[in-house]
Amino acid sequence: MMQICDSYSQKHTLFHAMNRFIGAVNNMDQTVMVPSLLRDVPLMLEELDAGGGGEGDPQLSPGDASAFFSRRDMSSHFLLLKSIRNDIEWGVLQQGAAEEAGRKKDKLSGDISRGLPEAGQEEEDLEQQFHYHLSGLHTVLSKLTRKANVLTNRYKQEIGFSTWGH
Amino acid sequence: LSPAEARKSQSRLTKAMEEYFSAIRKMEHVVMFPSLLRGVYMEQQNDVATDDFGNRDLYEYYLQLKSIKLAMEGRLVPLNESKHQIITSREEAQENGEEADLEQLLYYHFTGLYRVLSHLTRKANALTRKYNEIIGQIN
Repeated sequence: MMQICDSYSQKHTLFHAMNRFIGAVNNMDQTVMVPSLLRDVPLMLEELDAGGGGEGDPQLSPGDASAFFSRRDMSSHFLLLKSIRNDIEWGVLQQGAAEEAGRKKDKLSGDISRGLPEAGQEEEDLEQQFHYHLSGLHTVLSKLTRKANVLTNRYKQEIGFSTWGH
Repeated sequence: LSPAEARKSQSRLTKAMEEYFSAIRKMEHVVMFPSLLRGVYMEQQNDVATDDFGNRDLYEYYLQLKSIKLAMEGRLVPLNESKHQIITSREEAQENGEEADLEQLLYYHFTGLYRVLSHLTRKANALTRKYNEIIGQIN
C-alpha cells in the first residue's frame, strides 16, 4: 500500500488530509483481523465524537437523536472505507466511479435497514460527495493549469515584442 | 510496490495537483517582471484556452493563479479576505462569467473534499476503536 510521499503532506493541506485518511484506513485494515466480527454491529454516530482526533472536525449534531444510529452495520462501513481508500490510491475519478458508488451503496444497504432514514441518508451521501468533489477538483485544476500555461506563453510573446521594439 | 509502480499508481488527483503546481512554478520562473502584464489583455480567439480569461488584465490573473496555489498549500489563511481573489461581488461574478465560476468552483470542491476526508478519517478511527472493544470483550 502506498502513501502519498511525506514532502507533499507537509506542504499541502489536502495531501495531508488524504494521507491522514489513508493512514487511518490502513490502520483499521491491519487491526481488523476478523472482519466477520463486525457483521450486524451497529456503528453509533455518537462514537465519532468521542475523540475521533484533532483538527477540523466536521459538524455532527450530537443533540439530534436520530443521528445516533447508522443504517449500515460496521462490516459495510469497513468495506466502504476501504473502497474509498482504493479509489484515492488508484485514481478512479470519472462518471463510472459515481455510478459504481451508487451501485455499491445499494448493494451494501440492501439487507440492512434500521428504520431511521435521515441519518442513513447523510452518510450515504458522503461517498457520493467524495466522488463529486474529487472529480470536480480534478476538472477545475486542469483548467487552471491550462490557464497558467497560456498566460506564460502570452508573457513570452510580450517580452519578444518589447525586445524587438528597441 | 516498486518505486516505478508506485509512481504509476499515484492517483490522478495528485497528478493534477502536481501539474498545476508545476505550471505555476514555471509561470513564476518565466515571468520575471510581472508588472509587464499590466494592461495586457488576452485576445479572445476561437480556441478553448482563451475562454478561461475574462475582462481583467493578465497581471490580475497572474496574482490570482499564484494565490490559488498558496491557498491549496494552506499558506493563504483567510481565503475570503484575500485581496487577490478576483470575485468580490455577485455583480462582478456575473460580469466575468465562466472565469468567475472557476475560482469559486475550486474553493468549493477543495473545502468540500477536505471536509469529507476529515469525516471519513474519524469514521475509520471510530471503527478501529470499536473493533478493539469487541475484541477486548471476547477475551
